[in-house]
Amino acid sequence: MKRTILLAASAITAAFTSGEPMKLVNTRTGFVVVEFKQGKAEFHDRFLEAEMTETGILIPPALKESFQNKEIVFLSDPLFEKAFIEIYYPLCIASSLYQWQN
Amino acid sequence: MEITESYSYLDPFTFGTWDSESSPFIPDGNIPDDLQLKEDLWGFGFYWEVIQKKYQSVEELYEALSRLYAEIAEIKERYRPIAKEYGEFEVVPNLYEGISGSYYLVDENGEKQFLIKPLDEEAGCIHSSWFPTLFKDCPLRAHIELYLSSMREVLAYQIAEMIGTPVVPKTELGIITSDKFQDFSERVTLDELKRYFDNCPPVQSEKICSVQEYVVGSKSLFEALHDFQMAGLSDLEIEKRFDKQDFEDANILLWVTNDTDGHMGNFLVYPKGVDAIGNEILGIKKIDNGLAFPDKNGQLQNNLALLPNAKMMLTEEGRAKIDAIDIEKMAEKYEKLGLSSATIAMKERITHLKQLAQKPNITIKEINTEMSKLGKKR
Repeated sequence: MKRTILLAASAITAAFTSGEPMKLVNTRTGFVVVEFKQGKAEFHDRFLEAEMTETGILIPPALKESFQNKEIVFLSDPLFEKAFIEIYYPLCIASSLYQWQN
Repeated sequence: MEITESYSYLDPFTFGTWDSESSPFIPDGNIPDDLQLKEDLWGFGFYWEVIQKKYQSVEELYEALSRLYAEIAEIKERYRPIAKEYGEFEVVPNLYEGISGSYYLVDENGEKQFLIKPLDEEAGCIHSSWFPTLFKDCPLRAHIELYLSSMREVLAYQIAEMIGTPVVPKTELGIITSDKFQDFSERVTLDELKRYFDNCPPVQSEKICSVQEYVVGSKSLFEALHDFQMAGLSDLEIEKRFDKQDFEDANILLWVTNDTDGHMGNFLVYPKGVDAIGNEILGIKKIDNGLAFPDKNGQLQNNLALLPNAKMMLTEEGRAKIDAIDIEKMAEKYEKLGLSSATIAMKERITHLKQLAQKPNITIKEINTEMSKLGKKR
């Protein structure tokens, strides 16, 4: 099962790498949390957008090097999309309910 | 927001190097040619480069593993006297939530009764399925030592009860036995497995865990807010849907514990009552407290402060609760759970919180902003 999750993570990464627009969706209700289109993040969850603007994404110490040694990445940062997909989504969002769709 | 810098996305679980300031070693990114450990036969994955630099030989690596296993066994025995047994429940993996190992204890009817988290399956611990390491520094947060997460979960519950903010589901230490628990040996290659078991103890199916009561009928605050936004509710309407007492209590608790993981997914909401026109009022519970009580203040994450409710002023009742916090009694609880190293930071922030709470008309948001500044360079 863990292998399945890892493969899914790789698939998400591959989709983003190819530049496809992706959206994070609540699979129960269809609510779109955020969409990434051509490098732009469009939030439909105003509280999450406020979080990303005000407090940002805390980068774990073990991953700082991959984020130019930044401790926090805010919405305005060029590394935001990377931080959201690689840090915030796996650490803070229930993947059982919220999934990436293109 | 426009992203102008181009980069390739990397698998979140197989890239990067460790560079924690608190780590005794800081790799420089260059791998020397004379490393003795050539191949990751143990499945360290993410941390392999660090392991290669830290240990000069396979023998050294196994010595470190052996020491770590002995220490985990010692921790289990140390806490066994205060840990409960839950033999009547079945252990069911919770495969989809979070990166640290978690399981449910279900009763004979298949109903979830408890959420359990083994001490040694937290991200960074040796039996973590995502981030196994041989080290003591938490890979996710600075100033948090590994192999104490179960104690932090329990301490959060005890502190919540002690200061009159009962928003953490009852949490205790448990000794649980299950063949479903993760074990590092599952990652070791078949060719290496014999040498592994020659040097390391057999798989331990009995583990010390935090055991937290399952909140029936709950959902995450993250999800609840989406439901409200889907229904087109305004901030004012959303504000009225949360129990004011729980909201204030949960904020006070997070300031007291310096929770570094208070994102919307780590609050549960549940039906607590109805208002005059029949709208459901949601109570609030705080779960996942394994990243609270850091040894140094900073990194406070309290997403409740993002809700419209945070504009409310601290009530007199809330002020009285903060004023009544007994720092020394709290320190005793820290000590009993092996978290004495976090007491200096606790004393600093509670003193600061008490001062803030004395300010007339101060709001939840304002207190949170001030508490968030603790430990940051000015």
